[in-house]
Amino acid sequence: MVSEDREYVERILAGEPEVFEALVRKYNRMAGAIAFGIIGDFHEAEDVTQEAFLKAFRVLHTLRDAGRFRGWFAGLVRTKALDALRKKGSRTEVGVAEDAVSMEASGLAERLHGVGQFRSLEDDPAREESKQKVLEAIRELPREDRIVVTLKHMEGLSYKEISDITGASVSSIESRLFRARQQLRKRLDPTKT
Amino acid sequence: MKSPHPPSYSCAEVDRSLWLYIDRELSASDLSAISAHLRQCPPCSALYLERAKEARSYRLAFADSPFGDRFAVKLRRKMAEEGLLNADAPPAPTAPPPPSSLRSPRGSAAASSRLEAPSGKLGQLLYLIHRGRAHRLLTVAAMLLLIPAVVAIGIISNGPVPRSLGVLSASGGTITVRYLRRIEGNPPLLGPSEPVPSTGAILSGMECVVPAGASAILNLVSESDKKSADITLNGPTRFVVDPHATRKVFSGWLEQGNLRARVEPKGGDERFEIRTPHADARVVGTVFDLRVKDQQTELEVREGTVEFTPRGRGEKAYVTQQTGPYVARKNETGVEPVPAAPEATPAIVGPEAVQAVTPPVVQGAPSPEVETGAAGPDAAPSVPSPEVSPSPPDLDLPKDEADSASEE
Repeated sequence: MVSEDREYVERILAGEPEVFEALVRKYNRMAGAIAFGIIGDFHEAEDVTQEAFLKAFRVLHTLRDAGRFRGWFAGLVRTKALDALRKKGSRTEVGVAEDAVSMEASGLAERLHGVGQFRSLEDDPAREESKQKVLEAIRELPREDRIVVTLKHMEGLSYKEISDITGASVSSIESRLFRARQQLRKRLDPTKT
Repeated sequence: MKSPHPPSYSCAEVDRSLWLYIDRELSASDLSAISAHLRQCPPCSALYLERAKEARSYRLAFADSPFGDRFAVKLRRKMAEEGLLNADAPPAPTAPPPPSSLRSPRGSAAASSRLEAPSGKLGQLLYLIHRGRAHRLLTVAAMLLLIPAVVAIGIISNGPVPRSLGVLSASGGTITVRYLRRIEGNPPLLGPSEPVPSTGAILSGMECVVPAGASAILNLVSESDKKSADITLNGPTRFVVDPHATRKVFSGWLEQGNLRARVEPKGGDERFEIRTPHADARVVGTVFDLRVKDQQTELEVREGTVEFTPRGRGEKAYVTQQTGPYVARKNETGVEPVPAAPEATPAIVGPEAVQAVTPPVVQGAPSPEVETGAAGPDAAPSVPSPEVSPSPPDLDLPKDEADSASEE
């Protein structure tokens, strides 16, 4: 993993900019998960992730150890996402109602031009509603828990990888996930504990 | 992560460790012990299915995220618009010499031009050495330059290339894809599902889930960008492109469903192979149908010859149109003609060397929460097979149990 990143970075710096796409393909989900974890909105998370990649490309030569791209880039995304959050004003946590609207808009845009002639995955209204409920519940989690849940379930990372990205210990990741899932269960199905 | 629990688990311990089990954060022996417990304990098994369903709902909540290949395409477009992706970018003030181990054919022109520089310097050095100046120092310097150049030339064409194998197009429904990723020290894992727009790139390690009523066409291309093969997947079908597949050596895994392949004649070092849970079909140049259902794989060849090898140890057959369809059944060695076929004796043709059958990459690989069987990511969470061993799944509860759990 690390040696692969080193190769990519060194090749980009050596004059093969197109290799950057390999890094984009490899890390855009991770970056998106971090950004969504912080901001709680897919649209904004996408913008932030895009900006982070553009910045990474421009300042790649400042990366001291090419093998440490992942951690370096995760830090860039985090900084960009926190900046974006600050720019939004005094709101430090995501307003559920407002984001629920933007999610609807997101789904609509997707249906209008993203999937062409194909039916959206959300062809089942009940399933779509359930998905929105889960997303809302995830948005209501404390930020750090939300980041961990997103990295786990959106990107499918191991505890160790999440620990590397967030800087928290593996046991802390384990307990955060456990706690977050308990909270999600309570919110989504209050009859179960 | 090493679990403190002994290999034998009580219900309370299983309850405490269930998320670690679902997240595959236990050792292989602990995963095995919990699987064994779940097999024998209906209440714990029900709890597992509930948790797995929960995990699946979290994962599905992110299914519409704008990330994945679509994001990469958008970003590439933006970078091109901003002029970042051109031959002169980016500046690399402290760039080290290009490493050789990943040198690709695509980058070979650039690599060749870079290799000229060390050659020029080498010439100067040799000239200086000839003149007797700083003999020892320059000899060392010349060797330092020469060794990477020789290594680069030696393996310049063998590096792995993050390159598309062709184009995937879909019709009649939403096709979803996921990507198999290898994390060091762990079995391969599948990433999140993402819907395919009208077309998409075929990449190694890609799982393609085609729902009932839909179909996907994979147009594969050769090293020289010529048509190599067309694969049609008619839903409900689950197909995985081998993580090691290349344009030259294509290998895919048909987990369930129907596949038709039209394969262009292959050169000496080219290969096309489709594997199923019960058999391997290796092709030289042909048209054939593969059907995986009810614990068996049926092969019908329409043109050419297919080498058909049962999973595990057993006798293979060369199947042609004349031999009629052949079938490979679960847990049976050897393949045999479908009973209805008029001619039972397979024609042995083709002198090509038999490839050793490697264990399927995807068998038992998906994490418990993403194990979906043939019905795609929207199917009920199936019972887990978190063990590292490729097959069979460790826990094999009745399917309807999993189905009923998902419909709660």
